[in-house]
Amino acid sequence: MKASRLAYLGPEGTFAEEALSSVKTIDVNGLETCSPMRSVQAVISSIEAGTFDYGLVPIENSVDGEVMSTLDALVFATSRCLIREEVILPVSFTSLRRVGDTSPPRVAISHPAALGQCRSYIESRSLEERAVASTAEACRIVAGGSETGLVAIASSRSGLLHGLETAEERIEDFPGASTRFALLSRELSPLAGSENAGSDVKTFFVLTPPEDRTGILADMLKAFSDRGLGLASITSRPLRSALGTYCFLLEVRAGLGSTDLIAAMKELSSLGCAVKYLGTYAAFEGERVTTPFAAGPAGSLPPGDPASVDALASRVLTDRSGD
Amino acid sequence: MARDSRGSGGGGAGAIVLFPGPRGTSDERAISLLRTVEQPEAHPVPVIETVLATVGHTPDSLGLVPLENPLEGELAPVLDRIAFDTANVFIRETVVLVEQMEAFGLAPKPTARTVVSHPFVLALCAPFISRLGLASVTAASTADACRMVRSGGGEGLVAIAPQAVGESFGLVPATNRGLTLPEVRTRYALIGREVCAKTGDDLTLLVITPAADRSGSLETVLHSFSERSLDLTSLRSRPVVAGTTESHCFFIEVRGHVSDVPLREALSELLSQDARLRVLGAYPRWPGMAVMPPYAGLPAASVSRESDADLLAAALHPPAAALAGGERPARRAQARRGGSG
Repeated sequence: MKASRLAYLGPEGTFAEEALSSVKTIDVNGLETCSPMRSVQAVISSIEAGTFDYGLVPIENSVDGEVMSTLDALVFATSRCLIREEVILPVSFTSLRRVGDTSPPRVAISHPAALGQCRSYIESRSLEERAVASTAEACRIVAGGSETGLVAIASSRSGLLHGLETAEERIEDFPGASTRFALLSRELSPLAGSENAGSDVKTFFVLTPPEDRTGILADMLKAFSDRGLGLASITSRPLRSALGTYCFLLEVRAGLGSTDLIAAMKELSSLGCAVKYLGTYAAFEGERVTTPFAAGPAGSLPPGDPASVDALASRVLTDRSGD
Repeated sequence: MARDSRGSGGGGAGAIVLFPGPRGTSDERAISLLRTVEQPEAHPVPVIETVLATVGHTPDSLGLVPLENPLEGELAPVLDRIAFDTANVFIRETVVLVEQMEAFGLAPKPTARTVVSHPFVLALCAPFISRLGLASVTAASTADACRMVRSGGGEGLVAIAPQAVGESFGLVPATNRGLTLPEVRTRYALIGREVCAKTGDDLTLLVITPAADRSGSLETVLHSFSERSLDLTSLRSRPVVAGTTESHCFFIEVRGHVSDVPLREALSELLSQDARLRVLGAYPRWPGMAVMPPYAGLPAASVSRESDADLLAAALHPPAAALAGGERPARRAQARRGGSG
């Protein structure tokens, strides 16, 4: 049997590489190669072109929500890539310095997303920020330079790989954050034909309605709700083809072998929707990616009190209160 | 009492508008596009969180924060902060800044071998960087990139930046052929302690948390809008944890103003269904260009009722068609037709 090749968002030491150890649908240790790639787009292109068999890319994290650049590439620039597994990795950041550099931290180096997620740490120490291409690149710069007072913000594992020592652990603003990765391939996943309709299997579709009219989305969703099919996520994305047109990225809680899902897709087709299938996979067991905030939206109107809308409409137009 | 969109409530002439600094960034340039504030005075603060916190604690204060860009779509960290971390901050205007990127180096005839810019701009330039075999270096901002070039960052170092930024550092356009530089559109939100008054062509941004996380709950929410002919302009689910319960809230932008009767009726109906509701803002619709994904065309490899019958059948009956061979359904259908895909 032909040995398989996997590409992931590199360089070595990234959270993507760390997430490989949680992959279940393929034997990662039995792969011919596990190659770090320079960008998510490079990973996706390599699967699309068939130069690699599998690819691991981030698609969602607690703080930034869906990673739209990854999803856009899958939606608009591929016709063969499928998601065959989702993997969720708890993410924590560490500040790392060169061994022997005992001067107080002065400059924080990392990927902009990591810098943004460690804002309190950076501000409380009045650190200058330097943005670089990845957290692993930050470690490489700190390890290879002679400048003092530099700290890389990255995973502990990345620091270890570059011979750095820990300055401080768990420096993220929101403890408990996590990132969801998609394992891509050109083959259907073993679960693709699952007849399950429930919370343990998900199918990813992109639906493009035939027209932009009031209520088209509600009509589309009715195809699922009439059959008791739940959604795990939904996102609208504008299309450049015409102003005011959209496609919708949906994860439906059902396998592609579910007769209910097939019937729903037929109904959507009869409505004139264009359908793109992006894969069926098991819902990750354990950690979920949720917003980093411990409660729902602040200042929400209380349910069951329709009259409060009038009060709200007045208040948001005339708020003059102090704290 | 509804306020005039140019009147009080922080939008008066000469009002200070906080923005995440430093000066000279796109964020500051976007302030000049505001239509509801006369002669705004831009004032930099360290980070977005400072803008939000200051506006949240200071009546009459205003701030400008980025809301959406082509690469990342809607910026969840900003919208989350407004939705989950503040109860009295509202979006009262949105603007879209459109900037054409250019490549700048040192006079007299710079030729790019390494490009430097903000990571977001570099990501949009990735196709030509790869095609031309250029190296890339990240900078904190396009202004920083120009500063690196100006200070003699090395032969062949070229900054990717808007024209105004490049020229302000005394740099000149690079001479390379094949530099297909992107136009960057960024949507910004003016935030304050109250929404903008109704103009007749408005949008309202809501966060709706249905009473139960079950099949059909979103459809029920949407029905309240569609039966009143209220169009949606964006929708995004966001998973939340309230106590020990996981559920979803929905960020929904709808045409109309929160003070319009049809929208108020829709919101009242949602509350009567025990949904929770937060208004994030009401603002005039931006009449100019919108922020779009960087890809042209429809989602690739979609099938529809107009598609080839084999393709459509395979897409709608995938398990039987595909699992036996472990191939993607559409591919098998194409193979049967002798297509190359």
